[in-house]
Formats: sequence, structure tokens, C-alpha cells
Amino acid sequence: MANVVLAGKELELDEDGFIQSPELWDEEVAKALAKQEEGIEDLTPDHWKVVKYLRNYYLEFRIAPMIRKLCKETGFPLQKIYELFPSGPAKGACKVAGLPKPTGCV
Amino acid sequence: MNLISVAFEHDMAFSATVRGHRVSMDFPGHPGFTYAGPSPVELLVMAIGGCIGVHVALFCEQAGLSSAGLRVDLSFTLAQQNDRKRVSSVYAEVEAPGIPAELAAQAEQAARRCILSNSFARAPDLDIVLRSGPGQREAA
Repeated sequence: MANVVLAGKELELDEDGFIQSPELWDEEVAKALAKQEEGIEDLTPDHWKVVKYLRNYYLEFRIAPMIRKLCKETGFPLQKIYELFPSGPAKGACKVAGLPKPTGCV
Repeated sequence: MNLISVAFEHDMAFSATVRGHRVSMDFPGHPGFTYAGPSPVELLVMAIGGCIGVHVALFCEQAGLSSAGLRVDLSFTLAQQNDRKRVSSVYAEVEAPGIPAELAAQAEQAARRCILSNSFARAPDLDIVLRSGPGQREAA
């Protein structure tokens, strides 16, 4: 665990860079997480489409969606998700969306 | 079937051989990780992709369709229960530009019936025996 200041907020990140208090997430935090943890300089509309879908799903169900559902609902094939988030849907996209680390994700 | 042997190389790197073919494996996340190859779990998921690909290609062959551009993209997740991890989900997307929409459902069915998909549906017996030796300490 480490405490870091991102987008003016003091946040606790776990060893894989996932924020520990999802309620502190906002779009500025997402931009900072994308840059610091994933090396993504600018979040494009396609990045936001994925991030917002994950975020809304999490707020409704308190878990991350299945990858199949993520691809279907965003309309992006899996390869596109990896182009947007090179660490993948769990380690990359969920992290930027401020979700807790999906259980046992790799 | 042919003997498959997996041998320690160095750090956490292993090599597997079968019928003269050799594949390297490594264990990402371990301090000894040397990028020698994919992890065993990644290799398993790669094998699933290969198995799906072969069965879709067989479908194409039988239907007189081209397999050009056929690609399988996969992602997986692990679940951890107590101190045990397991593959909890595998997601595979098959890009098959040679298969027209009216045959897509049949081709998907062929993919779902590949040997490894069948093996996941009904887990095979896995029996492990360890043969010990005289014992040897790592040199300090």
C-alpha cells in the first residue's frame, strides 16, 4: 500500500496501483491514474467510453462486468480494449475507472 | 500419446518439449522473472485459442470457406479462494472474415466444441506423483 497525491487528492493505492477508496474517484483522478499507472497521456473518447461503462456498472452492481459484457456494451472487440489499455480490461481499464482490484485479477 | 517433458532452466524459467518442439515458460510477477516466455497459465489460454482456431479452420475447410484472416483474441481472469488461485474465466473472440453471417452460428458452435472447450466443460483427471532424490541444497 502507498499513499499518493493524484489530481490534488491523497489516495491510497495497493501494490498494483488500484485505488482503495473507489468513492474518491473522479475524472481528474482517472486522468492521473491513466498517466501514472498505465502510461496513457491523454484519455480519448474511446477510453472514456470504456471507463464510464465500467464505472457505471460498478456503481450499480459493485463488481466489474465480465469481459464479454464489456466488449458487447462498448461495441469494442477485445483487441481494441487492449489497444486502449495495454494492461488489459482488468489491470488497466478497471484501474483507471477506479474500481477495486478485480478478485485475483492478473 | 507422445511424452511431454517440462524441465527447469533457471530462476523460474522452464522449457517444455514434445515431438522435437520446444516451448519456454516463465513466471511473471516472481523476482526471478526473466521474460523467458509466457506463463504456464498464458500458455494454457494460448492453447485454448489454438484449439478454437483449428476447429474453426476445419469448419471453413469443410464449408469451402477461406481461413485467411482468422484470428482468436483471448483474455482470462484468475480467482483466488483462500490461498488457492484458479482460472475463473476465459473470454475468446474469433475474427473470421471468411465466414459469412449466415454461417456464423454454426462456426461458433464448432469453436465451442473444440477439444479444450470440451475439457473445460468436464475437467479431466489430473494425477501428480513426485519422485524425490537424495536432496541437494542450493549453493550459497
